[in-house]
Amino acid sequence: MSKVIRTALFSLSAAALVAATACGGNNASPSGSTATSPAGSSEPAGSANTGKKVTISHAVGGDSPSRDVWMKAIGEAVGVELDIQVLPLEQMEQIYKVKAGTNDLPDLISYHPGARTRDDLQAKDKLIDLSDMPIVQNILDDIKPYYVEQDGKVYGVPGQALKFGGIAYNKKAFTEAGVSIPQSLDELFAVSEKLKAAGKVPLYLSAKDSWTLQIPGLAAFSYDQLQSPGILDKINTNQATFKDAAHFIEAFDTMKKMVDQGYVNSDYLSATYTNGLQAISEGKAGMYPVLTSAFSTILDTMPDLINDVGFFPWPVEGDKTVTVWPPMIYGIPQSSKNADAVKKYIEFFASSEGQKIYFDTLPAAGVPAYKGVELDESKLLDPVKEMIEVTKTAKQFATVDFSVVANMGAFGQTVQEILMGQKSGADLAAELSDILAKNAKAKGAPGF
Amino acid sequence: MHKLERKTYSISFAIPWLLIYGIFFVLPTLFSFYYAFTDWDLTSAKFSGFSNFVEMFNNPVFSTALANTAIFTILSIVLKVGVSLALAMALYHCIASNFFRTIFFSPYVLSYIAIGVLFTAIMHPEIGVLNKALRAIGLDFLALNWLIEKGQVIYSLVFIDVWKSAGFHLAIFIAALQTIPSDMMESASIDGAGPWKKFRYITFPMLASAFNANVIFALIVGLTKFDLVFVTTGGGPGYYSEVLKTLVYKQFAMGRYGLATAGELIIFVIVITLTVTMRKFLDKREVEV
Repeated sequence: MSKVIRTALFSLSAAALVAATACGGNNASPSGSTATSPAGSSEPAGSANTGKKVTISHAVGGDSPSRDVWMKAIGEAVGVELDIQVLPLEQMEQIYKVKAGTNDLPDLISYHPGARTRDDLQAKDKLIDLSDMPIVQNILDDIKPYYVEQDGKVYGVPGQALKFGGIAYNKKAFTEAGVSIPQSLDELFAVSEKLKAAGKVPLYLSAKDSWTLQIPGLAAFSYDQLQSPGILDKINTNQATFKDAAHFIEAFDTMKKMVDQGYVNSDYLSATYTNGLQAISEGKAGMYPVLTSAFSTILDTMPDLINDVGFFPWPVEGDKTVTVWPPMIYGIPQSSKNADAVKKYIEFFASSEGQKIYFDTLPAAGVPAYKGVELDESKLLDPVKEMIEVTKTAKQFATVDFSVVANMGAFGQTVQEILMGQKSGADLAAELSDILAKNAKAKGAPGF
Repeated sequence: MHKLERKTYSISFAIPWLLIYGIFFVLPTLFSFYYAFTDWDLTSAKFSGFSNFVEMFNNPVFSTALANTAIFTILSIVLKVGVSLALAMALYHCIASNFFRTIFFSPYVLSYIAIGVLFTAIMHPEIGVLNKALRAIGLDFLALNWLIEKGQVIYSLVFIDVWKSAGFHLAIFIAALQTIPSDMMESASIDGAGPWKKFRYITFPMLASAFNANVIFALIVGLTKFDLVFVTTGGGPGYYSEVLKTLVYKQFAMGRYGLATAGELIIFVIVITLTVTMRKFLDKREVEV
């Protein structure tokens, strides 16, 4: 097949994929755009000669009024306008991959860090190296490996706060039941029994949004990394599999035991993430496995209840770990015509002033991803205080699905099967190992 | 000659749209099948022979998805055509038939997204309107776990799809009913034919082409159902409502574009084969009737 025909085939097929992706819209917010209003006193970035403001295009998953506020404020400070395309949250990844494939990435990229940026967006060929930006030195050391490549190149820097995976709990419910934060799985069951006796749903599960079911296992995998050093590297080179991840497997079997013992809401197969957030905020439920980004949503929707909730990592006896979801990157495609303006935007975002705007607007966002950012302790919300405490006492590992050699896919449906008694945690581990091996082989990863 | 000119004239109107359809849909779709034989990551495609097809057929969920698609398609054809035919016969001569036609057609103009969200709430086992109503009238035994019970979920989805689409099929039947000459019915009545005989020997044969069209429509829609399942259950609980299209979508979401394209090609072949076979069977039956 000649090169011309190949190119034509690819272009047409990519166009079909874009169309297919666009047509698969669902209940997420529709695409739309917002633009910042003209800046106040700031000098427009990269446009001093023309007097016209540069407009930076940006695409981001899910609607968020708070995000629009702080992005607008930072845009005004730097003197740029933002044209934000809101992507349906559950299709954000596919749309970004297609945009990368068709050289249609926005000026300012927001995407998952590490291997996901490297592979999905073909970072080496498509993104600008940001290693010369001074802010790279300020990225927290624990998460730096997800932003700085082995060859020193940087294709994206943190564009959010650190968030964690673990369990949100309702403090009032805990007080009412006379329990404290469990430190082991045995204690988790003991706490659940007391919460149940106090008339609470001990552990809320929202299987209708099946991604939420993945959180306990992903959170527990940190203990596998802590207790079996190098397990992730071995998985990535096909010398180990998820079948060797005992805590990962145990987390899902624990969820099933909780269901069997009546510690989970009876409508767990119908319950949604929104139901879960409401139940944990209002104290109808005692515990709910979440990512800490949930606290921003609670702050947006039920601000009066934000300090009633707290956070603790998945409880396993012994030394503690917590699973980090490294912040989404801010990156710039090589095709961007506004790279200088975008760099200024990113530089300001990562500065103390920019981070102040960010955390003032989103006080429940999490923990700063940059060194030297001081948060006003008097303004810290309770769940954020607890997150910061956790980072001081627990070793941090990035979530495995950002770190594995190939996409391991969503596995929430298989967790549903576990909860329904059709499969076990070991079955899930075997399935995931098989999927990962096939995807790694298709990708040409060494060792598979 | 006159007939030929008329044909050419009408085709010329369709050419611009055929070109757009051909260039932006048919050609990319056909060309994309090349990628079914590759490991494709959007930038490069490495030829992999039939490995994607082997992987798709070996996927443990594939047989479940195939069985669910078959159940969904067969039941939805039977119910959509049966219900809409019954409604058409009932509404054709009834008082305020236009009002009722509008009522029955109205779900069809709603998007599957809206319907999926709506029925997720209606069919919630504990707080859903459906089960609350059933319990209120003492029919507790009918208050089922509509969308979360492994043995029921696919049938609940069929019900929702029939509810939405019956109005569309009804419109086709009503249009066909209006083409039946009234003198045939009158002469049958004079000859002493009752309602059943008139239906069996006049109405139904005269509706044969509309019946065939409805069956083919329902067949294609059933085999390629995605949106309703994706929004309402996402293929769950577990994989008990997974259909071929949602399975393929998940391969696409995982970044296995070649594998997803292979899945699409499999669906394409199934749809073409069944549609052509069904069409031939129905055409033959139409002639016999």
